[in-house]
Amino acid sequence: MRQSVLPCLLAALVLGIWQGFTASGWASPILLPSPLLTARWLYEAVRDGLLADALLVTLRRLLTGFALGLAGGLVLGVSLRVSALARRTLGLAALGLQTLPSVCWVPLAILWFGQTEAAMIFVVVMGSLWAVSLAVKSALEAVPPIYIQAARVMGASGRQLWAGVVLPAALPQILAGAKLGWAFAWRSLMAAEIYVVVMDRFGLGQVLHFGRELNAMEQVLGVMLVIVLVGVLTDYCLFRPAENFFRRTRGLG
Amino acid sequence: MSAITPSPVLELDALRKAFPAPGGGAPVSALSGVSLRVFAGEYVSLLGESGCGKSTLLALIAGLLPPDGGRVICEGREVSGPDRHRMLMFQADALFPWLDVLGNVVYSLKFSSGLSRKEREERALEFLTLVGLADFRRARAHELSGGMRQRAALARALAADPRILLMDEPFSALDAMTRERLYADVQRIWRETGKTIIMVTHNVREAVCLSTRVVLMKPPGALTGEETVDLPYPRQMNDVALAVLAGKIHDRLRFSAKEAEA
Repeated sequence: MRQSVLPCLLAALVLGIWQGFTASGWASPILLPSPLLTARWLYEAVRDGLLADALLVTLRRLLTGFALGLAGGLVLGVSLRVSALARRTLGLAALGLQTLPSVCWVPLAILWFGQTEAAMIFVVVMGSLWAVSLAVKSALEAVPPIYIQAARVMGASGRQLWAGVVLPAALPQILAGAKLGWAFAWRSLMAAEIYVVVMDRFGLGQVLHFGRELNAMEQVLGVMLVIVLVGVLTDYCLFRPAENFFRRTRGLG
Repeated sequence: MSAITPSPVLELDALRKAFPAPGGGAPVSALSGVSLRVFAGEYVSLLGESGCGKSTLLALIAGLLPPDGGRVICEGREVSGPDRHRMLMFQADALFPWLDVLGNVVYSLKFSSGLSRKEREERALEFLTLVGLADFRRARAHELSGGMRQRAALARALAADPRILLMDEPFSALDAMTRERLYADVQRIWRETGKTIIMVTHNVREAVCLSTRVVLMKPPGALTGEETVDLPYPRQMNDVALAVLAGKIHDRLRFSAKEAEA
């Protein structure tokens, strides 16, 4: 409890300055809406179900794209670890594509898939796949050879070695890769939702985009706050417990 | 070979091994024609300064490295890869951090045929009791002291029921008091299980205290002689006869080292 006092104080301070700044009339409410205005928009959006609908649409896309990116990244990462041929071909491609901001895929995605869910998912996968696969590859490379030798001496080989030793040993670092992939997937999806419009399903990105079109900056800010909140919550509920588990059981860091 | 001579459980025949030089150039020889016979139930120590090829020799016996020349023959069969019957216990800590102590020992039993899960756990617990770690079966490697980790590693190695137990400087990372307690335990376990043990060490006293035979090595990877230790077990580190013999071996090592430099 005491640990949450400081962050709450800080948030209150930021809100206070923000409110004071807008109330003083220095900034037009069109450029910077007050916290109260933003809060009112959030309240309305929650009450009429807009936010819940958008959140659901976005999270479903995010989870689908992330799951595909993670699965593909695992397969690609393992093949990069085991095959020199894969390293010289796919490895170079992954390295290059990882540096490409995923929003660059949007024009092609729209051309190939139209204004559809598939276009959205495609951009998310392209945004997370390469980073995850490179992270998985280096996680596998970082497994201390002594574990593998010990297992070989005890009689493990082939699949047993992979399933029983290499993967469990690399798990904490694979988790770090997954976390990175999650962050990339989030960013990619927001870019995709701003550009790709699926008419009957509006995600958070679209709501933010419409806020811009309507010059409703309280809407833009409100959605931004929700995005930040989702990010913090997934870190607390999803990644933090897993990291703590590894820290506790393996005595890491 | 006459009928009454027992055949060796392990035979090293003119083993050679070289490694590529770090900066290119001529390969560096780590073993230059090592031949040795080890008989069942022996406790042989390979003794020499660091860099004399002791650990390389152990890795060759374990089958983790192929020799450049010569053969490793275990129970009449040429060694071509790792095998549970030649179990290597590592110098550095090789316990799996994702398993608890019991899980580590159970892992070692996974590859022996016909044991159910429950039987494996029971067997593993027996070995943990043997090394005095039964109460710590649920602990993780990082929660144990250095000495306890080595005990756990020993239990894991013994659980595979190897013909030959290979130990690579098992005590070098431990403090003196822990080490002496482990010397007593290893002597007891060796005598109770009747295992053949080959141990690498650079500690003369340790070699004399534990082994039936001490084999001396010098760089670049050659055996220079051996000494049979005819002292009764259990042995104490500070026993006078033991100290005298250790002194003698120490002199022999120093002499051969000087010879190598000259």
